[in-house]
Amino acid sequence: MDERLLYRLYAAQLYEVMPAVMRRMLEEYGSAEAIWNLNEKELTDCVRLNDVQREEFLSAKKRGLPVEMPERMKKSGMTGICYEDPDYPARLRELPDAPYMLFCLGKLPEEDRKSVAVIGTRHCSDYGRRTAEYFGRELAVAGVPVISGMAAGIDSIAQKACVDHGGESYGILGCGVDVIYPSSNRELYRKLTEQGGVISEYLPGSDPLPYRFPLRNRLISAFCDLLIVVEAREKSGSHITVQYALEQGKDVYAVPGRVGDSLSTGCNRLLSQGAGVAWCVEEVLLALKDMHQKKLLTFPLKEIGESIGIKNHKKWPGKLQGKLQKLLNDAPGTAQELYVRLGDPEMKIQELLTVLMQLEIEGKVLCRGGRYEIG
Amino acid sequence: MVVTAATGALCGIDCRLITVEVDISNGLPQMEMVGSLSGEVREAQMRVRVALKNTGIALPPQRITVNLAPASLHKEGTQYDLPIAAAMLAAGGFVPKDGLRDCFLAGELGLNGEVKPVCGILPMVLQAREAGMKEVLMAPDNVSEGAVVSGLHIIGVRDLEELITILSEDEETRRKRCVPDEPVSDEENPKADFGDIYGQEGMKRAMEVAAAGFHNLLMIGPPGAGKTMAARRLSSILPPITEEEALEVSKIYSVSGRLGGGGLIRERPFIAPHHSATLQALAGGGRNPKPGLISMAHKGVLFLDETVHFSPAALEVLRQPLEDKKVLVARNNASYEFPAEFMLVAAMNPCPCGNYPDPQRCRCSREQVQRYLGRLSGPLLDRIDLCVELGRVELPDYRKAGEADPDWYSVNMRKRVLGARRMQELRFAGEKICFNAQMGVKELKRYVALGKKEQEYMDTVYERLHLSLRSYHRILKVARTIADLDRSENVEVGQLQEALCYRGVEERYWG
Repeated sequence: MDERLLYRLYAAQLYEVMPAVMRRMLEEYGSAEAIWNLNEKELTDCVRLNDVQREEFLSAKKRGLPVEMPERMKKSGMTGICYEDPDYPARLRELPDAPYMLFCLGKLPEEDRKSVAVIGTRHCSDYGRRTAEYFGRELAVAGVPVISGMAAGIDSIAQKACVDHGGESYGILGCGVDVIYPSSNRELYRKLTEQGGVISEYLPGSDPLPYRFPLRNRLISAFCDLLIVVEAREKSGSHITVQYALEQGKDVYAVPGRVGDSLSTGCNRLLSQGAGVAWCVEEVLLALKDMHQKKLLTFPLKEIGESIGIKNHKKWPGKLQGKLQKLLNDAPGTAQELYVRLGDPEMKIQELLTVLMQLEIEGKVLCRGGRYEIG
Repeated sequence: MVVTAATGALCGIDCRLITVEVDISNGLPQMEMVGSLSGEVREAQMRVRVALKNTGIALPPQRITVNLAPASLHKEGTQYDLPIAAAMLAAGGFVPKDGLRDCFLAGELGLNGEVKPVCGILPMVLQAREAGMKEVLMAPDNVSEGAVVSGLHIIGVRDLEELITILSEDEETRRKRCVPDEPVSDEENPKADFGDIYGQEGMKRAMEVAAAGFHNLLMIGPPGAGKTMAARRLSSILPPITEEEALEVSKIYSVSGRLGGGGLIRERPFIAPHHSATLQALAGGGRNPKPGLISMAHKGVLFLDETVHFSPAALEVLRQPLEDKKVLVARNNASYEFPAEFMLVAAMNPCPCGNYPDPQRCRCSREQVQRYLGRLSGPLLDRIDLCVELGRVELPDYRKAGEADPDWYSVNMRKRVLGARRMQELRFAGEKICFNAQMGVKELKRYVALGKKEQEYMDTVYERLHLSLRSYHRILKVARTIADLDRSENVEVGQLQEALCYRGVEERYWG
């Protein structure tokens, strides 16, 4: 068994509880093994520790080395990279609170390849869903890896679109890399381990505890070169990532939303504070161009609305269909809402239902929870 | 010497004929009762004895034995007081024995000799008629309930004194005491009208379809969209209850003592249990089981408001009646069958906050929404033919309400429903079923024959929407009803399309 790995895992456990102290201890004693070998007296004498921390050390020592962990990592094909290793990601090394260990399923992002993080609210609107899909897909086509947190909503939608179009994507988790959270991400999780990686600073088997998510956000921003916020409310976890990104000197872009749309308030505020306008993928790729592949500029500029299918220039045949297309282009709605918006006293509701059903079968509209939208 | 009188014991909502046998013979002066009696029946001897004393009857100082036959049947209730008293009077020679011939009695006695009403008079009178009885004696308060059954004489007895008079009278004098049969009143109670609801044409249409085919309906919508309001108006468009159905429903109400003194139930019941209702309250229970709320909704509407807040066990109890149209309640001595053929109307919010899928108002996560909707179990959803989503009432709708579309007044909706009913009556003339909702696979094959175009359409839809075979059948049933509403012999593509819009929630929320 790799003894060194055992000591490192032991140190990583303590590192999560008190990173600053551990960092200083590691500097002072040189290695994880040296810390493990400190006896009780040495720990008691160590001036760096207060009582609580000392207690923590002693009880960790009592628990012993996490001997079952390496086996567990081996089984799932997980790798663990330590700060002391030469292949530790350079982007993280610069962080003042760089994780001591990184666990990874799949691979780590390439060092010299620029990547983009796409983040946003967990409970997104239809607009957010489409925009996230658009960026995921277009970035995959352009060969830019997509970094995100694999959370429900924008994160996983963007990552899924990316891997579905053959792109590379990396998920940074707030739990152990062998813990699938949320469980609906099982499929995405599997794909990421093949087309990218799932990365976490937390030990295998760690639960998705609430405090871990804001902290992992610093890794999302650290791994990327440019951050896109797709949809965020005024108060949103995305702002934590933005804050980290600004501290780390990364470009922040936001997708503009409608004024008064609560799900876009956060984005619009970012824009007013000077964030880049992520209104099409080329905008983002241009920002990356100095650092990236030459082929970027050969893309023809395409309006975002066209790409995400909100603007469909092809007219639907039929009079009622045409009116519906106009209405649905403005905003989705339930059959009842559409009936009211059409405002035709001559028309019966059942006629509208019939037409909507026809459009649904033709794939022109989608019905989600009773709301119809352009398909 | 033995004297007998006839009465009845309730078994579920039916009644069994009981013979009260009284023997007075020499021995120690005491009274004994036998025949598998429960507490309240055993107490009858005290009531009867004291009531007789207070009426001025001095029982002979002899040994009195009372037997309720068949002795093997467990007897509960207080309807035995009156027949026991009558038989004792005849055995003691206070009234002629002939007075009890072809006479059925049921009533409770007070210590002063007064006759009090009992539950379940209707099934008892029906049983009496079946057994060939000519007269039924009961408390005056029960008379209006008993009088709905024609073909025999209903006589109200105020107290024991009157009982002695009646039993001593000859047949003709007695006949004069009979109350006339309850006349059937045609007037209907004024009901709330669908015209009061602003907008929501989609929901009204779904209600119309549900009422026409007796389909179960699920309404999903935000608070204040008018779900409860609409459900309460459903009875205003349901087809009227038939005489036969009315009798069956009234029996259930009679047994549970909820007929309220009036005659037959002449309206389809509308039962809206609170969501804290227990399993027993819904299915029926008690040591001697009484029908539960779902049986009270027989031939009518069972409306579950805030469906997901019902306990899962209470919801699961609906599965059997939805499938078999009856509830089987088993107790240690017997199992009772209560009919429960109702139209289920369930209402719920789409998510904990009620505003899904409106991202402006709803802050529930996807998981929360799924968990919330997931509280309705699949097997229950399988039994629901129509599902309709309601939006928030828009202000333009509200303003328009004054000039509501006459199409959506209850009276016009009912006209269309009745038209569709007639189509179904003709169609199912020789069958056991009478509504489209009751069609099984066999009936679907026979009565919902799709043309070539329609068949092709359904084939594409089946693939495209990933329908299950079960929902495919549901759609055919609903389409048949819509076609009936359109007075169309064959089901056409348009009707299939509308039916598809009401397809189950599982395909649209979880699909």
